[in-house]
Amino acid sequence: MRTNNKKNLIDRRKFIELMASASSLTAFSNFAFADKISTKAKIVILGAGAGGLAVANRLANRLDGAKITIIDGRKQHWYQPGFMLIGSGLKKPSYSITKTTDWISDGIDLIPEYAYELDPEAKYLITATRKKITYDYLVVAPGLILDWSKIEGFDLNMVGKEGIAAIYAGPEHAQKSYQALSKFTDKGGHGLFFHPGTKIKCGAAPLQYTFITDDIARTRGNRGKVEITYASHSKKFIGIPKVNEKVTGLFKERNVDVAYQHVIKSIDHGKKIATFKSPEGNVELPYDFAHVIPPQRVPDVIFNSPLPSENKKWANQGWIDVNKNTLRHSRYPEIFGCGDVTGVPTGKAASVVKWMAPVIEDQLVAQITGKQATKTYNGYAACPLVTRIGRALLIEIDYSKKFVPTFPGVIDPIEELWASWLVKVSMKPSYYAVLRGKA
Amino acid sequence: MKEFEISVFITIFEEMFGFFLWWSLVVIGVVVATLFFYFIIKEKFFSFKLPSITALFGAIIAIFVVLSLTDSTLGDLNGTVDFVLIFLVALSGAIATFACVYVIQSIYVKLNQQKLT
Repeated sequence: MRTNNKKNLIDRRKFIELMASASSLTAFSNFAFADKISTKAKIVILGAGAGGLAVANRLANRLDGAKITIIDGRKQHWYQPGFMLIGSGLKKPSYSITKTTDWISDGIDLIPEYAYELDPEAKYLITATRKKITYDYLVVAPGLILDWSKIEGFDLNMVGKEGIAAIYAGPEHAQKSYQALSKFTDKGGHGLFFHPGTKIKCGAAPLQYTFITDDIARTRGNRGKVEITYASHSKKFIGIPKVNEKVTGLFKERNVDVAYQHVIKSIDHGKKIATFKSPEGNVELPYDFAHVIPPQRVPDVIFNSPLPSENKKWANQGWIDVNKNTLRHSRYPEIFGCGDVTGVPTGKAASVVKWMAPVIEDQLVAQITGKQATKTYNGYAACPLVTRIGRALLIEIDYSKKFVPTFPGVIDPIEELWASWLVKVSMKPSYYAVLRGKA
Repeated sequence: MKEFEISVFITIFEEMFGFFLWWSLVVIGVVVATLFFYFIIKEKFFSFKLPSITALFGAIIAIFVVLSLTDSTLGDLNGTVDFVLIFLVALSGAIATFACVYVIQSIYVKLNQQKLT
């Protein structure tokens, strides 16, 4: 029998806090051998998510005398890859929650406010309390906005009640989502899953929650009274042809009905009907349980600035215009983009940040010293796509959309493996090492 | 494909267990391994019977601890790599248990020998 909400045996953070200073002394530290660069540069990091923290901590380790400031009003830091596990009933919300300040190295200033305005010509930001912050270099890493209001009739207060799940909304909502999922898989009915009509973070998450719901219903012996429909916004489920083929096969095998080119428009929770835009016009699909994922875009401060791409495809979502290899803004060379906010043709995931952060560090330090940068980003993204509790596909790709497996010949990206599931459930320490700028 | 660095793995283990616990485990591992080889080489007469029996239990316990910590079951094993991994888990549990029990047994015997002399 699988267990729910297991407590961590070890209070990791407590140990880490006690040992943070000693940790930097380890002879094996990445930075033990790195030269510190002397500079008086003013560097502002917009956003204290995975990308902002990873870049800030790397720069703090690398630069001597720089003024590094992070601007972010979020008091909590959320380990977002954990939301799927919370929404599956395997972890509690506390699994994903830490304090933003837990991850900020000495020597970095935090302004605990959201940014209100950004002027890249005059090189300053205005915060919510109208403080003016000037910069020499800016790293834009505010993440993205979950635009719940774009689904008519939907309200986050619905989550957990009468068959509404929304694991993207946060750790507490992910737990409420599991409560709704649990009731649904006991009682039966029609489950509805969809991908909204924009780029989203963790693009495989809607598929994963579909597979998990199917698995939980089977484990409880109730799959016979559960119908599942997955509505994709495009003509495929995922942008990698071999993975798309695999998912198509798994949906068929597991009796999941599919609909293509269905973009969520509204939810009528009274009638339990979701309305989608399709090439044939509006289509209504009934549900007893629905996993809601909203359209996503950049935060207003970025959307209203000159940073978004002029590329028409992405203009309405506002992803910023950076060189896909150097991550430097195409019009403002002292500005870099990191993570979800960037308009580069790869996934929006923590694994992306892991490989973007060292590139931004290298490019920015090279710019300060006037030397040639040595690192570029190749679009690497990794995703353990859970296909049931205990198995996953480990997908690793780069800009070419070809597989770039870390273990070639050992882990087949399109084979459901327990080994790939292990990656999903054991990646939190690795993620935290990335935040500290050490991995 | 991305390269591996040993320093990254060490950082991850430090993050997982905390700096003190991780390096304490490393030190304990080195001490047990050193004592194990010392007793094996110097005191060849100690019995392997008890360590061998407990190693079997160590292997089984290691498998169930890993399955429990990762919210999975034996039924989730699918590809070759899964079976290789679970074998390595069992082997690690067996070796660790064997070494620990052998060292404890050897220390116990040595102490008794000293008492008799």
